[in-house]
Amino acid sequence: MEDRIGVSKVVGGSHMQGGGASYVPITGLLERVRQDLPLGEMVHTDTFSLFEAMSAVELGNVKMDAAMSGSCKSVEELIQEGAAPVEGLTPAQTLLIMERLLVMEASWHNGAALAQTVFASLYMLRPDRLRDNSPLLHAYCEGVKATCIAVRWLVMHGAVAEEEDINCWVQGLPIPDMPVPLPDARCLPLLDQATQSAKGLALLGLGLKSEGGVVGAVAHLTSAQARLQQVMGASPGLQQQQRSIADSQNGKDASGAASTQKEGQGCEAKQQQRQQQRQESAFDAPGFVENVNKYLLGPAPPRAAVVMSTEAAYAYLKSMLGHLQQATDVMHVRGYRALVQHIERFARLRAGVVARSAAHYLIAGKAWGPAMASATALRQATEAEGAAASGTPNNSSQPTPDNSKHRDQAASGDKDGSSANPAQDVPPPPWVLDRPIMSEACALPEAPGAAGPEADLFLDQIVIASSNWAQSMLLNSCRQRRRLRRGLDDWANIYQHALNADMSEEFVAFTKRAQWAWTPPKDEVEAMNEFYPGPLSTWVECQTAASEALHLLLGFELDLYQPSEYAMVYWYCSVLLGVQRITSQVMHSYRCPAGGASKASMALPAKPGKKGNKGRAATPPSPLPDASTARRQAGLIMDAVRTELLSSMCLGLVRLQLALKVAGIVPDPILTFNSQRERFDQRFAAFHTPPLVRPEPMGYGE
Amino acid sequence: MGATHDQQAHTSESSNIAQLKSILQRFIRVTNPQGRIITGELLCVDKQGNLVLGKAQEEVPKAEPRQMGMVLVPMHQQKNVELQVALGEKLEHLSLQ
Repeated sequence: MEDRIGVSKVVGGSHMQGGGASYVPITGLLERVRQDLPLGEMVHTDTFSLFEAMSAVELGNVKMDAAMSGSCKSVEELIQEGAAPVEGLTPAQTLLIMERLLVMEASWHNGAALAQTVFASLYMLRPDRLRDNSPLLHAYCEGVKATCIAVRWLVMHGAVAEEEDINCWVQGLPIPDMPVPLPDARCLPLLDQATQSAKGLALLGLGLKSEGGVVGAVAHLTSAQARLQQVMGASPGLQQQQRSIADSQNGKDASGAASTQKEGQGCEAKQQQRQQQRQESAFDAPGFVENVNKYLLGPAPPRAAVVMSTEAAYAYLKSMLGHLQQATDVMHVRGYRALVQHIERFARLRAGVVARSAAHYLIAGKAWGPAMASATALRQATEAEGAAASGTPNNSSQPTPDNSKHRDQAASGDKDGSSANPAQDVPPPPWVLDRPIMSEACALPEAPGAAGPEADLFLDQIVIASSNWAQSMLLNSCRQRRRLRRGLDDWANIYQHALNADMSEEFVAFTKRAQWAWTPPKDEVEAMNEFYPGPLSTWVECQTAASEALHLLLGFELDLYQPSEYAMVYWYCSVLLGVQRITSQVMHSYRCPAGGASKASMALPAKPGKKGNKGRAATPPSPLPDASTARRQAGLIMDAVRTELLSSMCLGLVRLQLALKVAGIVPDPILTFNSQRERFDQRFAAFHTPPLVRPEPMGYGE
Repeated sequence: MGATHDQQAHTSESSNIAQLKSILQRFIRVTNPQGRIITGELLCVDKQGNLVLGKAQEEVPKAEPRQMGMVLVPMHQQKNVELQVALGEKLEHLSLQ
C-alpha cells in the first residue's frame, strides 16, 4: 500500500503525454492473476464500488460504446477520398443535400444527437469548401448552422427541455454557446438568394424527387429563422416582428402554393410515388457519413439516431412554426388569469421542445433583464451592420418603453420614443410572471410595504411558485405531471405565508382602507374555526386545487389508470373542481378592488328601486367599478361557472363508471397485493401528505 | 515436502496478486483488437480478466482525447495492456510482464 502510494507520487497519477511517459506491458501479470484468483474474487481499490461500476461503459458493446461502430476515418480522410465533392455538384445533388439537411435538423429537434444528424454531413463540418464552388449550398449550410445555434441557445435558456426531449451535446462541433450575431443578419439575404435559386431550379423541371418540396423547405427555414429571431428579440417591436413573421408566413404559403402548382403541372405521379415510399435511407445523400462524429458523442451512449422521413420532417416543421406563432400570442395577454389560460392552452398542444422553450422563455422573468438588454444591444448592432452591408434602411431601433407605458399602451401597441441606453435593464412586458402581474392576481398593491411585510413576503413567494408552475406546465407531459405533484409542497408553504399575511395587522388595515368586503377574524382562535380565514389563503387554496386536478387529469392522458380506477379519480376531480368553484365565489364576495382603487370605484352598480318607492326621489347611482376590478370580478364568476360545469361532468362520469360496473362491462379488479382502500391512499398520497392541509384531503370513506 | 510445495505455490499466488495490488490506481493503457487505445486508472480486475478503468479517455487520432469516465474492458477487447511508468522506474517494473 505504502509502496503503491509512493509510486503514485512519482508517476503523478495523471494521463502523461509526450515526454516522460513510458509503458511496460503487464499482460502476463494479468493472465497470472486471472489464474490465481479464486472464483468470484476480485482485486480492487479500497474505494471501488460495484454499484458505481454498474454505470461503466463496456468497451466494444455497440449499445454502450458510441465509437464502436462505423468508420475510423477522419473528416479530412473522407474528404480526400471524395466523400463530399464540391466541384461538379449537380443541381439534383444540391437539392438532395439541402433536403436531407432539413430532415436532419428536424430529427435533431426530436431527440437525435446533432453529431449524428445535421453534422453527419461533411459539408456542414467543412462549409468553407463550398464558398467558391457552390455558393447556394454554402449559404444553406450557414443558415442551417445559424438555426441550430439559435435553437440550442433557445432550448438551453428556455429551461423546459429534458434529456429525452433533445440532445444538446455539441462538444467538438462548431456550435458556440452564444448565438453568433452576424450570421443572423448575413444569413437572411443569403437565404433569400437561395430561395430564389431554388425556385428557379424547380421551374426548370429537373425531375427530382424533392423538387417541389425544396422550395417550401427553404421557405420553412426562412420563416423558422425569422420566428426564432422574434423570440430572441427584445420586448419592444415584438408586434413588428410578428408582422414580419406573418409576411414570411405568407411568403411560405405563396411558395408552397407555387410548389404545389408546379407539382400539379408535371410531378403528380412522382409525388404520389414519394408519398407511398417508405422511409428513405437517411445517409444516401452526398457528403453524409453516419458515424463520422462517433468520437464526439460523449461518454454516455446516445440513443440510436432516428432520422425522420421527409414527410414527417415537413409536418413537424410546419407544426413547430404554428406552435411558435401561438407561443408569441402571449404578447396579447393581460393579467394573471389570461396568462394561466394561455399557458394551459399552449400546454394542451403538446408542442415540441423548441416551441415549449420559446413559450417559457417569453414568460420567464429572467429573460427580461440584463441578459435581455445585452441581447437587444447585440441584435441592434447586428441589424445595423447588416443593413449597412446590404444598403437597406435600418429599422432596428426599437423603443424602450417605461413600465407605465406598458400598461397604458398595451392594447394599441403604440411605440414612441427613441431607443434608450440599451445597456440598462429592459423593463419586463406585462405578461411576464413577476411582481406586477401577481399583485394584480391577488388584488394587492404593487408597491412594497403598502400592505405590510407579510404580504410582501407572500407576494415574493407566489411569484416563485407561479413561475415554477408555469415551468412545470411547459415540460413534456410525463415530467409535467411529476412536477405538478412535487409542486404541491410549494403551495403548502405558500399557504402558511398566506395565513400569516391574512392575520397581519398591516394587511388587515390595508383591507379596511381599501374597503374590502371581508371581515377578518378577531383572533387566531376564530381564524382556525373559519373555513376560509382570509382572501390570500383562499386564493392559494384555489390555485392548489387547480394544480391537483390537473395532476389527476394528466394521468388519463398518460394512461396511468386502470378502468376500475376511473370512478375514484373522476370523483376526486369533481371534489377539487368544487373547491375551485367555492373559493372563486368566496373571492368574488370579498370584492377586492384591483391595485388599491379608490372608494368610489369600488361601489357596485345600484339596484333598481322597489315598486313601493316610486314616489321617493331616486338616489344617484353609485359609480361603476374601474375596469380592472370589474374584469377581475367577472373572471372570478366565469371561473366559478366553468369549474361548476367541469365538476358536474366529472360526477356524471363517476355515475357512468358505476353504471358500467353494475352492468358488468367494467369488472371489479382482482387486487392481489393491496385492497381498494390502500390503492386509494396510494393514488392520492400526495394530496394527503403534510404539510399540505388545504384543500382538505378526502378520505376513502367519503 | 508436499506441504512446502503448497506453501511455495501459495506464496507465488499471493505475489502475483500482491504485484497487481501494487499497481492499482495506476494509469494503464489498453489497446483493443481494432486499434483503439484507452488509458485510465486501474480500479478492478476480476477472475474473468475484466478490467475496470476510472478517468478513462480514448486517444483519437488528430483530435482531443475523448473522455469516457468509467470503462469496463472485457477480456476479448484486451489486445495489449501496458502500465504507465516514469522512465526512472521502468526497469523495476519490467518484471511485471
